[in-house]
Amino acid sequence: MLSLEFWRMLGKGVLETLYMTLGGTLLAYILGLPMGLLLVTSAPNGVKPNKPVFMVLGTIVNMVRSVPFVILMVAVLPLSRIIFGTSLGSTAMLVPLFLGAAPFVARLVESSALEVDNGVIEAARSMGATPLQIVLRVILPEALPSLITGSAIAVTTILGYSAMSGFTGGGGIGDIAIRYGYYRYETDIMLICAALLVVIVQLMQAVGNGLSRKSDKRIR
Amino acid sequence: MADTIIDIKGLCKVFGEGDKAVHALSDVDLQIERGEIFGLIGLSGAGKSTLVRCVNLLERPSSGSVCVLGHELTAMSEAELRIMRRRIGMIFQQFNLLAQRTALENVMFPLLIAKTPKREAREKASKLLALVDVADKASAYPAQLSGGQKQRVAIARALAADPEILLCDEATSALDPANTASVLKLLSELNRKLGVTIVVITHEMKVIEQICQRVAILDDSRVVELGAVEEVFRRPKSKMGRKLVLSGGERGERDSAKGCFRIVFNGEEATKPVVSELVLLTGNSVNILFADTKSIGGRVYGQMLLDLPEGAAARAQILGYLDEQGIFCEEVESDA
Repeated sequence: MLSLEFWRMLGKGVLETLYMTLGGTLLAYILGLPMGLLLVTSAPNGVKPNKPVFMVLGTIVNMVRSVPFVILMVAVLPLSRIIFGTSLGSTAMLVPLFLGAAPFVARLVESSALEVDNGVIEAARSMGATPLQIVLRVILPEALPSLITGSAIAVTTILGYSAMSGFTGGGGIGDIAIRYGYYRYETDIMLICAALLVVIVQLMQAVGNGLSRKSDKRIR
Repeated sequence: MADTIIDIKGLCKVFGEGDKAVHALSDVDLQIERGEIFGLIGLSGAGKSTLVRCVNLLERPSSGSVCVLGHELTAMSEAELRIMRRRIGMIFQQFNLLAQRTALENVMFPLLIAKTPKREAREKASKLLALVDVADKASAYPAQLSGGQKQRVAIARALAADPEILLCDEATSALDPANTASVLKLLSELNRKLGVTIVVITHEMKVIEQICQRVAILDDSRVVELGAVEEVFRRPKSKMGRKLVLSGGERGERDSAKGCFRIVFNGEEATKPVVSELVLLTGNSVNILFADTKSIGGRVYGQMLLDLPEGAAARAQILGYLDEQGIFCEEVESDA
């Protein structure tokens, strides 16, 4: 019943999903990581308190995070047309994924960075470290295992976002699930797509946990 | 010859504002001389941690002057302060080592942030680990070290930038007695070998007795007593001083009972059986309520609490005997 052509399409869908997920995550971290670190540093008890920066950044993050991703996606796809010349396909989807996930990543990074022991930061200050040195050489390396765990959460969330791309013709497994499984009532295709997504999430979570454990020098 | 390395005048630190304001330090004056081991003792909440953080300005004083190594710190910019802090090492109760770096990398850290070339930093860090006797743990992570080893690594790290002052914030409070003794021994060795001035903060009189030359007692945000350790130990003048000196061991309320006398051994011959001679010569029996003495190099140091018999004549006899022996003795006031 399921033709070779279908499996080929599914294979392409998996690749597109991975492309959107990993590409989107990478882009989201390029903005979200510095944002999260800035949130921690500018906080009232941070290494370089700055109330205006902290307030403005926090408000922007909360605002973007409160918009449901489907809405955000539709709203910013015109931006993709400006950048990539099209609002269709996986590459076009990178724009909403990047914008939607960056604030989420910022919060993940913030919470990981806050886990770093204050005493260690105080010790670095007592040695004459600058705020930038504290961020780059103390907070980042000390928070690494937690940052990796956080990135596994980010990847799976962004995978979920990418699956919504079917509504706007963004490609990937989500697109197939919506077009075949939902619009055409082909339940078997829907199930295969759902199962595939589950497998991908499991794999990514396992890889994330493994890397996090491997990087952590506290347990051993 | 007095060479004051830390000169604190009129130091005040207030946390919070208005009704919620907490005075952590009120008008503290303190002079610490180059090369000494200075103790700062007080109960928790007395303000000693805040005071030590004002020495390297991790905590900015509300008012007053902090002059370290001839520089007025309160007038310095953040950038100037960072350079200054390299000359003031600090160790902590919880060690505060970087958990994701090896012992060697931890010691290299202050050198690397001061832009020392990596190879040079590595060589120096190895030497320092050897100096504090944990050379074999260079590639271990903090999680693989015992408390005593962690504090040794932390000491090596604090010494990496060749500081002239070492601040110790409850450095032995998280250690067991054996490790406490060995870390204190290490600190006094470093003081002798490197000439580094050490400021020790603690709530334990034992720590002060063991390594400090002078001590300041902090109570409720103020310095209530200051002097040579022997003098303060022998004759504590302040109420807090008495409390700290007398709480050398685990004892109950009976200390404050009347008829209780404290005798202090300060380097007398260890072989002389003072108490039994006292009993034999005066014919009075005494009850030893508490004793905490140790003999160092054939001499006794420490204190004993004796419950003397009632009766002025017997007491006078006993006190006379102790006076003859040159042993300090005083009645313990009940301050309950």
